[in-house]
Amino acid sequence: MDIIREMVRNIAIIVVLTSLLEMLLPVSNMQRFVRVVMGLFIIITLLNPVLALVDKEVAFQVSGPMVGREGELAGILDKGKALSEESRSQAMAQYEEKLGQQVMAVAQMVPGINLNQVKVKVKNETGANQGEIKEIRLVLNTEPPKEAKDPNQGGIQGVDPVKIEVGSQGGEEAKTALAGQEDNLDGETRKRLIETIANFYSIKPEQVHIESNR
Amino acid sequence: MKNKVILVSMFILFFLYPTVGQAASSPPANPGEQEVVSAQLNNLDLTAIEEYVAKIDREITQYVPELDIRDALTKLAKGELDFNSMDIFNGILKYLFKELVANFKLLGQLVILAVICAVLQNLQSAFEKGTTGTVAFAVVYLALISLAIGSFTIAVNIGREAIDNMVSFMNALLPVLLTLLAAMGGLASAAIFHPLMVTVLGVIGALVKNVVFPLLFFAAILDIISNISERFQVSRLAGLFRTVGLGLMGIFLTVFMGIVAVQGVAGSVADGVALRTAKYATGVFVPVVGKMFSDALEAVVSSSVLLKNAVGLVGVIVIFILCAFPALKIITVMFVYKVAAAVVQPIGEGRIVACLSAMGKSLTLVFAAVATVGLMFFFAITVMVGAGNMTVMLR
Repeated sequence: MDIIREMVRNIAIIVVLTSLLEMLLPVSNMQRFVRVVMGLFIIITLLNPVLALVDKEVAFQVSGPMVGREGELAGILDKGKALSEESRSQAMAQYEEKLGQQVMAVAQMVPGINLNQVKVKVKNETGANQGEIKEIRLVLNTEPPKEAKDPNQGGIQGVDPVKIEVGSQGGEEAKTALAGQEDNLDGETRKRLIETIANFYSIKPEQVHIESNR
Repeated sequence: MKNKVILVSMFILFFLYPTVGQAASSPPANPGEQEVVSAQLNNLDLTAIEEYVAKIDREITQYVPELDIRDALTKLAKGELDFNSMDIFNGILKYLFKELVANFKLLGQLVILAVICAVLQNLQSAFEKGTTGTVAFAVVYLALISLAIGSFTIAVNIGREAIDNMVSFMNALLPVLLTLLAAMGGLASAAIFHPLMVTVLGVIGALVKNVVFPLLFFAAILDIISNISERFQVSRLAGLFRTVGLGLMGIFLTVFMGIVAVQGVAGSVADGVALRTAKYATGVFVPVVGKMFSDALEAVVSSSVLLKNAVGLVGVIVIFILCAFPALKIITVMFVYKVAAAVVQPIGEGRIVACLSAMGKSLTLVFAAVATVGLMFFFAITVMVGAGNMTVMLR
């Protein structure tokens, strides 16, 4: 660009000077020659940069627009992954909530069940079986039926808020709950409840735990 | 003529191109989606864009509705943004008339100079020697040159600044858009787009600013000096510069569009296949509830898409504002030169008319360069947003 700038400037100067000279010159035969000489001057100015190009090698390069931004992509991808992980855990939370509601509804199909809450534990790690049910924990209400306590209820039992917890607080509690001493269910109902849920979700009966909220 | 048709169609495209807008204002999201969108919005670093929008020229902000990025994004994701394109359009018209009125002074000066020149030329016969008239013409012409070069330099600088602004805004928008693209599973697209966009934006911005604009400027100067003397014409050289500048713009546009479009499709297909595989894995291998799980995942991804489209739309609006107002400024100066040439022609000296109309022509090209760069960036945003949508569509 500098070469062209130089050229344009030279042309401008020469043309202005020539026109000035033209005014100063007396009207005579000389004028024609002066014009030709000035024309030659302009041609030389035009050709000069072209000759300069032949002389030296011009390296065309645009200074790197990537300078200082090499690490940016990694940052963007990391942020993207963090965002998508966040979304995944939100999706997981929504999924567990919906699943809990569904289990609650399925469990109500067994007569004589008074559920307090349902805890569903699913496989959280990304992989082929992500979202698979690990265990379902049903928490029963151990209080006597409400109509006996409160005659104003009109015989319809309210459903307590559903609370789903995902975590590792299974373990020992689960075993004691499974032993069945804590809840007030008879063996038959208990078996039916476990079978219903296990069959519906095609999981093993051992994955369904019943406990009371005491 | 062909150029003008292209320019007009560019502006029509700016207003009417519907893809991004439609995608962003598609059916209002459900409450769950709202939460996801606002959670994602809070996790997103928008400082660079916000700083940029805050910096937009005070002069311009009088003519466009105020734009609070975070608020606009939330509203857009809900599908209830009351951002009326008529407001912008009216603002632009208002700005156009203001600029026209401001440039009337220049028009007056040009016309008066041309009239003086014509009178002097007619008086030439009264002098003993013809050279007196020539000197008078030279003086008037020099005054005209100083006016013309002054306003032309201003116009070129406005164009240059507009391109600078657009490039730096794109650099601020790019990380946000690509983060969202990566968040919805478009990792391959983001990895392809980033180096490509950064390079192309930088190179094109630099080339237009440092090669095309100087060429157009030199062409204008050569046009002016070529009219000083009838005998030493350099108008062909000016034409050469102009053609080279215009040709370069055409090449940039073609190459840019080609690269961006091809890369957009390549990345989104790869991501679409990856997402589809993941969905298949969860949906099929997890018994009974797998479908429910993949549906929940899909709902969250679609809210990411919603947010990404909203960011894209806001980006397009800002690019439009950054491009349209400087372009209008240049157009009004161009208009003034064309009008001056038209008014002066019946009385004036041929060379002055030629000079004025050549200035108008050069300004048209400066305007075209700014509009083309705006169009390129507009397409770049559209393709990036579209690539994400395609990824989701393919799963």
